Parts: sequence; C-alpha cells; structure tokens
Amino acid sequence: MHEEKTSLGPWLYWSLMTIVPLSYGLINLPYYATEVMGANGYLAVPIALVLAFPSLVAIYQVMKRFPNLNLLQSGMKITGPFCGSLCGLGYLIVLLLTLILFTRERVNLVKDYLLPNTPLLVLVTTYLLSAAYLASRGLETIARLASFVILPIVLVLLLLAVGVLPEINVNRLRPVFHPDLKLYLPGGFSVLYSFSPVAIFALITPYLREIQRKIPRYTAGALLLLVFFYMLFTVGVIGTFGCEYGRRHAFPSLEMVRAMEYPYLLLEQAGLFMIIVWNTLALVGSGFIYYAVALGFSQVLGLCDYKRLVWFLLPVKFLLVMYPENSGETKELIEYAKNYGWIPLFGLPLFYYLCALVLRKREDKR
Amino acid sequence: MVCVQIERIAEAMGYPSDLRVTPVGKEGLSHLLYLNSLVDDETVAWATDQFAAFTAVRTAGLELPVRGRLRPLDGSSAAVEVLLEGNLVVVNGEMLAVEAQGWLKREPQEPETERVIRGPREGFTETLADNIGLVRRWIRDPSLQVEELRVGRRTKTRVVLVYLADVAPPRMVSEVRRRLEALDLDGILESGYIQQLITDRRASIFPLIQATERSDRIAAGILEGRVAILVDKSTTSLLVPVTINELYQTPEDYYLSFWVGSFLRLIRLLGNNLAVALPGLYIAVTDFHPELLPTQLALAIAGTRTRVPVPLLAELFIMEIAVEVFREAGLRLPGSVGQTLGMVAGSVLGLTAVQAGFVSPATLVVVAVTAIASFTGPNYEVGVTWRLLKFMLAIAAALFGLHGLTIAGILVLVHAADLKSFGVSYLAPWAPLQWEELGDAPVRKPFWARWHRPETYRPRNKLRTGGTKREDDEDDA
Repeated sequence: MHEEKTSLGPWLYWSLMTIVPLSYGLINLPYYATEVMGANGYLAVPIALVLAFPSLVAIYQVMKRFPNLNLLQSGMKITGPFCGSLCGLGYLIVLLLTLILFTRERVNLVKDYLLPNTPLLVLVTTYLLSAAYLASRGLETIARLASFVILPIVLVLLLLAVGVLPEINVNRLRPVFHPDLKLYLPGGFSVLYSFSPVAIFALITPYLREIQRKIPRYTAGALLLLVFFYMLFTVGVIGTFGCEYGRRHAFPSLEMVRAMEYPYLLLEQAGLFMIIVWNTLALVGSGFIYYAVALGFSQVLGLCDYKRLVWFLLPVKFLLVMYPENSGETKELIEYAKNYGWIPLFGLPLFYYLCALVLRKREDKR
Repeated sequence: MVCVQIERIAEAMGYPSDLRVTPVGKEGLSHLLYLNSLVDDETVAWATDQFAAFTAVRTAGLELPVRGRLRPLDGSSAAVEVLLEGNLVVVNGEMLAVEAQGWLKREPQEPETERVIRGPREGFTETLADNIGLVRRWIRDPSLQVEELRVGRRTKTRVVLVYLADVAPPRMVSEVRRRLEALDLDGILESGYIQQLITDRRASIFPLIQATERSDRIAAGILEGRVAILVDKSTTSLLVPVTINELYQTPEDYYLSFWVGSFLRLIRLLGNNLAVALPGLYIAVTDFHPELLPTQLALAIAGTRTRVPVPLLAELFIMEIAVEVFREAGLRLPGSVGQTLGMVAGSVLGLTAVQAGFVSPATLVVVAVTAIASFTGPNYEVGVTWRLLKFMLAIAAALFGLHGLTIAGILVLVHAADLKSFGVSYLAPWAPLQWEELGDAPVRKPFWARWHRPETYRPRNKLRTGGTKREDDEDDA
C-alpha cells in the first residue's frame, strides 16, 4: 500500500490547520451563528471552540500513545480490527458525505454568483477534477500550497474585514451579551461544525511525529486565528445587515463584502477579491479532505493506495454531488451535516481515547 | 618501434587529414604528433625547439621550462585521447603528452539576455578553462572545488562541478555528481542537454535548474552553498538547486541600495503577474463580470468592441500570437533591423488593425502591456513558461470567467508546489515558509541584515562571515 514518506514541519501544519477550517466555515458561518443567538451570534464561536476542545485533546493523547498510526489505525489496535474497521468506515462515510454536501454548496455558490448560464454538470466536473488532482498529489503538496497561499489570504481577509467597518452599525450588535444564558450552549453547537475539519487532522498524525511537542502550540495558534476571523466576519455581517436580514442570504460573508463599494478604484467591488480568496480556500480545503478520506479508506479497507482511490472515488462523488435537485435541497441536507456531522468527527477520538485509557492500550515500543 | 607507435595512433584515428607528424631531436628518432586544427602554433614551435636537443624521451626529470605541461602516456588509446583534446604527443619508444591547446577563443562579452545597468559586463564564453578562470577570479578561496567529469560517449564533453567544499552540503554535491555520472548518451553539445536530463521532473514546464551566462551570478550562487555546473563549449552555466523566487532576482539587486533593489524586485513581481494574468483577467471581467468595472469604463470597452467581428478570446489570441511571432522574428534579425521591425509591427500594424476593426483598442492596450511586462523577468526560461501559461489562463477565463481563472491559477500553483529542485521546495521560502528568508524574497535585505546564507539550500556553514557548521553536518558527510 502506497503511503507518503514525508513529514510536515510546524509551519506547513499550521497553514493547513488554518486554511482547511476557514474553507469550511468562513463563507456561511454567520448564517448559522445568528440562527440561535441572534445579534450575539459572534459569541457562539468561542463557545464552539470550548466544545471542540476535549476532542482535540483526545486526538493528541491518542497520537502520543500511537505515534506511528493515525486515528483509524489506532482504533483498530484499541478496539480490535472488526470494531475499529466498522467505526472507521462510519467515520469516513460521514466525512465523505459532508465533503460532498459542502462541495455541492460551493458549486451552487459559483453558479448563483458567477456563472448562472453554465450547466451545473460542467461546474461540478471541473471542481471535482481540480480537487482530485490536488488530493492525488499528496499531503506535502497540499500543505505547501496552503503555506504559499495563506499569507495573501489572511491579508486580503483582514483588508476586507477592515473595509467593511464603515458599513457597520454598532446598534445592530447590541446587547453585547445575550441575556438568556440557556442559548449559549445550543449556540455553540450550531457552529461547532466549523471546527470539525480540525478533527480531520487525526488522520494524518503519523506525518506529524517530528513536531509532536509543538502541536499544541501551533494548533492553539491556528484556532485563535480561526476564532478571530469567524468572529470578525460574524460581527461584520450582523453589523452590516442586522441578524434578521443577514439570515436572508445563503452566504452572508460574501454578501457583506459585496456590500462594500470603492467608486474610485478600477475594480469597484471588493466581492471579486472575496470570490478569489474563497475559491482558493475552498479548493485547498476540499483537496485536503478528499486526500484524508482516500487515505482513510485505503488504510481501513486495505484495497489500494490512496492515489488510485482518489480517482476511484471520483465517480461516486460526482453522482452524490449531483444528487440534490437545487440549492434549497442542498441547504436542507447541509442542515443535517451541520447538526449531526460533527458527532462522529469529534466523538470517535473521544471514544478511542477513553477505550485506550480503560484498556491501557498503547503502541508497543519494541 | 616509433613507426609502429605512430602507425597505431594514426590507424586508431582513421588517418585524419589534419594529423601532423614532425620529426624532432638530434637523430630524428623522436616525433611530435598533433592535430593542426586544434593546437597552438607557438606551442608546437616551442616544443620542437625544446625537444631538438634530446635523443630519447625521459618521462621523469625532464628539464623543460614548464614541467606541469608534460605527462607520460600509457598506450596508443591514451595518446589518441590526448590528441583529440588538442595536445601534442611526443613519440620515441615511450610517449609523452604536451599541453598545446590553441583553438579560437572569444573574449567575454555582456550576456544579451541578462543585461544590467550596474555591474560587470562579463559573461561566460565557449571555453571552459576561461569560464573556470572567471569564477576563480570572483572567489579566491582554497575551498573552491573544481571537479571535472566527462559526459557523452562520443563528445566526451568536459563538465565541471564548482562549489565551496565547506559551504555546499555534501549530500547535494554527491547527488549532482551521481546524476551527471548516470548520463549515458552519445553527445552533450550544450548545457541545455544536461539541464533537461538531470532535472528532478523532466515533464515539468518550470525550469528546475537555473541557467545563466553571468559569472557574478554563478559566484553568488556558489557563495550561498549551491553547486555550479560548467560545460565546455557552452556559454550558459547551471546552478542547482533553484527556487522560483531565485529566478526573479538579479545580481544588480545587490549592487544598488536595498531600497532600489527592493523596488526593482517588486516591479518585477508586478510585471510578471501582469504578464501571466492580465489577458485572462481582461477576458473574465469584460466577458463575464463587467459589473466589477466602473460603469463608464465597462461601457467604453464594450463600445470599442462593437466593430470587432470575432469573440474576445479569438481577438486576444490573434494579437498575442502576432506579438509572439514578431518577438521570435526580432530575435533572428540583425539588431537595427529587429528594432525597426518591432516599431513597424507595434505602431503601424497595431493602429491599422484597430482602424480596420480587427481588434479593439482596449485589447491592443492589454496585449501591449502584457508583452512589455513579460520582459521584466530576468530569467528567459521562466519567462517563456509564464508566456505559455498565459494562454492556458486565458482559455480558462474564457470558459468559466473568474472562477476558471482562479481554478487554473491554483492548478498551476499545485504543480509548482509539487516540484522540488535537488530536494529543495520550488516555492521556498514561501512554502514551507521560512521567515528569515522572506526578507530576501519579495524585497531585498540590506547587507547589514544578511549574516546568514539562505537556509533554503541547507548550507554547511550558515554564517557568511565564518561561524559554526550545521549540527547535522556529520550526517550529511
């Protein structure tokens, strides 16, 4: 079975860790953040981070116990091959379905905003082929690409966030803290999905062996930046449109940026930059998750190497991406993924860690 | 005995018409053999005089003015090799080689494709020994290693590795040597052969080995811990490894103040981005997203295109291909004629095409800016690469607008991210990000901040001013 003989440095790890969740959550997080907590939706983000924290600790602990194995391989050692394979397959299928739904959502966005006359089939094909090409190049290439694009992306996002400041009405953000404390926990769960890509890193832990000690520090750095951008864009959307009106847009972050106009520039709308940034984010994120899914399936099933599996999975992905009839149906299905998709992604590491603790399992050091 | 030896040599060479056999010495028993097309006449005369007094050749203790010029030979095959290199062979029972190479040489001139405003006008020539000398004049350090290899079964081309023994990583030097030694073909006529054969990815469109005609660039590379490959009869030498960032730097950046150097680098980056992306961006914005432009500009562009009978992509391609044809033709024409042709092509044909309604003025402006911007890059090969990719991006933009342009751009980046040059990431120092090196990437670090050699190339000795060796130095060795 072909597996990469590589290891990621701290910067490559940090870049991936930042880019992939951003590609998942940035564009529509304000939509879900305001769903439960209204004008205080931005507070849902740090709560979600707190909720994700135990699972991230569990992933790190499992990694320390099994430094040469990823989560799914460790699971097979901890709970036995049958149970481990079953859990691993379930985990991967959920991950694949989530990836498919988010891919469809991204294609819908391209169709709605950029290319309304282009057939969906063509857009899906080009998008999937691009992601598959990236996934087939392997982890090191994906990480290097993430490293190359992260600085410009962070810079452009910051500029966009600053540029939207004149549009913000502070009154729309009040009160600063929601008076109903019972809403905080559901609010956190409503955006927990945006941190779930962080848990996918459990599938590449063997490539992080050399930076094992640095992982907590770099993960914390990536998470802080994520929280910053998620909160910034949520504040921007609420401040620009208000929480009620903001929920009328399927992609409120994009709408927020499109609301800005610079009459004296050659390109009057900043939406162009947002679309370019988002397209880049989406492709890198999809490529990484696609790679992780293919790698996971190849390890659990032991069928063939991940590179071939990337291409074998392509028709399956294509058919499933084409399945929802329209944007409305995609949105409905994404609601499921958002509400329940994080359970296996965050739950399985916790489950394996608890089992490893109880059964006292760790890698044989001989 | 002597006659037999001469006969063997002549037979082995196929009795070439330029083989000369001259009797020397008191009794005429010694003979000088040489190919008169390759030897220096003065050396022949000098050797004839020197050997006039001898009756037999002695391989040791021969009292001649320059002892290093003499060496004994084992047999006729060795003698043939020496003759083909342009040396003399003295035959008298034993055989002796005398250095006498004397073919035509060219004086160093300023390289046409790597001109600078400030800096030496000294480019490599076709003579390997002179080129090594040019490098040695820059680096007068006993650690400078010059290793010679022969490549090509028939051409037996001299290929020389030049590096600093205490700076270049041994693993990289041995990898370069290994790749050169593994080459097996009949002939190497130019360093371009080697560049294509020892590259990490032969199918890649990006140059993974830096080619240059400038001796100062080679010297700068060697000082950074890289390995130079000099090839006989080639004016272009090679440097490995290379990053894409390196291909946008010129030696001049360091000859001018760091403010000016940094400004020039940024202009070059801007020029490169325009050269690659402007046609695609123009198509995407004009054809798919005109709402992004100010209304008056969008209307003006649309207005100028009303008379043009072809789609924007076709219009742009016609103009771009015309520019490429003029550029290629301009290269082959004599200097003054080339300039005149450029003027005629640019102004007369361009304006006439607009008046005739073949192309719109806006497209002409885009094509002209793209063409001029493509000359800002100091490396010819990477410039051609971007020129080719420009067409790909334009097609992607014509198919899917900005979305297509972004996707195509990312695919190009994916390919670049996948590349390595002798183990070094092609996108370094951006990917993986090396903060210390970034100061010397889009801009130029001042000299007082450049104490370290680029970490990208993993030099054995990190400090430019001496200092400590790497911790993993022993592993490398």
